[in-house]
Amino acid sequence: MFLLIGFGTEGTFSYFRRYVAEQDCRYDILDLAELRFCDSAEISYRPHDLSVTIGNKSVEFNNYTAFYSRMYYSRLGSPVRNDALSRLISAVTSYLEDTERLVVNRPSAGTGNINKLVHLRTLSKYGFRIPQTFIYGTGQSARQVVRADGKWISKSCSSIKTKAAVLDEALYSKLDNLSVCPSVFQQRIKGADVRSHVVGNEVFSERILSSRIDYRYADGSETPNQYEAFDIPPHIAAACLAYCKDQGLLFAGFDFKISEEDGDWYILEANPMPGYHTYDRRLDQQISSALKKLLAGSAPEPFVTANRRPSVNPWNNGIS
Amino acid sequence: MSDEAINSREATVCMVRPTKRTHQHLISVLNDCGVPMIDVASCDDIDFHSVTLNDTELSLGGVPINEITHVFYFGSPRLTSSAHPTHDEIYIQQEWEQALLAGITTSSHLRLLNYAASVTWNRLLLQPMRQLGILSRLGWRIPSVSIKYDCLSDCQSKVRHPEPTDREFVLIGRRRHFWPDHHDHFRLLSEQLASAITKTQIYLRHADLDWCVVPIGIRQDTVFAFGLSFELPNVFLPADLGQLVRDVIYD
Repeated sequence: MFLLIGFGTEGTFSYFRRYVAEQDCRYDILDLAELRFCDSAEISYRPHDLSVTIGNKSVEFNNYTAFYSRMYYSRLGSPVRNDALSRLISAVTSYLEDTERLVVNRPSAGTGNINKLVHLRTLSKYGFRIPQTFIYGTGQSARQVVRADGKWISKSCSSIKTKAAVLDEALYSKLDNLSVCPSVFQQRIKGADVRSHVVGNEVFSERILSSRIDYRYADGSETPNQYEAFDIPPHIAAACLAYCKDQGLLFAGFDFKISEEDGDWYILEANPMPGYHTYDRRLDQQISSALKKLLAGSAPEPFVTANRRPSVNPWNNGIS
Repeated sequence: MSDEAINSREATVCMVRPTKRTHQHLISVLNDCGVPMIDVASCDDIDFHSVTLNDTELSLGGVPINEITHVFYFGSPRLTSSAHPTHDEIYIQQEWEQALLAGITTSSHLRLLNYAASVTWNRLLLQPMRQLGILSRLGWRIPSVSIKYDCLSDCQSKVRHPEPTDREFVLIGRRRHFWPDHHDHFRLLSEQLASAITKTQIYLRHADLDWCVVPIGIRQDTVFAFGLSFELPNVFLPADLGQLVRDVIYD
């Protein structure tokens, strides 16, 4: 039996929760969103042993053979609820880091994407091609390289979610604000986007044709995005798998651009907690299916398997 | 550049700290060690031009980063002392933090001391129950922790079993460890904890850490460890802190 840990109100988590509810598998849920409304909560931690109670629901972690975690901090509306979530994350993190059971993903896996430049440096070691990327801290330094010619994208340095923007005249005129805090500038790669999800040893990819700067956000473009299932080149798939293996990731989402100039593949990011549900809907739930198989498949199988253990039926005078 | 190559050069050490009020005792320790020291406690001390995947144009305290050999990083300079920073202030602080760390970690000629605890992408190390898990793996006895929250009356209670009494600290470096005093009491503790301390020193090397401080409590002659800290608190003798500083810079 596997345990899903996350916010029942969050898109990807509730999507996977609905998916497994329709499958023939044993699972349980630790819904962190319940912390917002519960009367009480309790955490009992010893190494390799954790129990959590939120309201009336208790979860003994050692009862599960595998875990899927989409945990992160969020403000819950009161200091005591915020503290409960923070401590709960700390306790679950510790348990998931130390347990020998299957965890998708261990909290320490692939966390380098908190820092965009450091993350790209790590990815470059796996043979991925990286767009030219700079952090500038003064307008003067930035103006030596970047131009308001549509060939540069502005992003944040950290993992704070920001919308990428093309460096246009309006942004260019504000470059001196970089002295307030530095920011990332990245060569704009024009061409199709590809999103690949690695689940265990499988790779599921989708190509996105979009006229937007960032296909995920509407920006006034008239043309709708086009999506299609896509096979990525073997050397790119191999690099994704190698990265996941080294980082201890069982599940990750990779973002690529295919340059329309030369056909080269550029990596933008590898996400250790991918919000994958919109892609999965279009890919006939292949990602969810692989994820469920990974989690359910880790249950230990006894020597005498279920098909050799017929149930006893008292209404049928013997064995049914 | 290898650690050996870095250490064979004349050291120029930079300390990055949130404000001028923190870590003052370490400034004295570094000065006493005679190590040229650059203090960065304000964004005005940072001259940040650019960082790429393999090049950094950054000066700290007026010194180009390629002239700095070691960095003690205790957090990027704080931009506001407000207990309730605005969204913009939080964003600016985080961006500074990541830009600065990108610059420091891109510079292959310097060593970021206590790397794993300094880079914020490894923040698991700072979570209290994660620390207990690590200590348990290293052979320390640790308490069990139970926390109850009454969300309706906004109160909570935390019970550790056992509760720490007779609290002490031990500072563990890769080569040696230090107690707050040189009293016999601590020699006996060292003997009892010899195995856990040795395993912790091996862990420090593997985890890219140079030191840690373990708060301990003694209950009925049994020692329990209650967490990990990567600060260098002034409960330790300046001479011992100086020894640790020399170890991490020159070893």
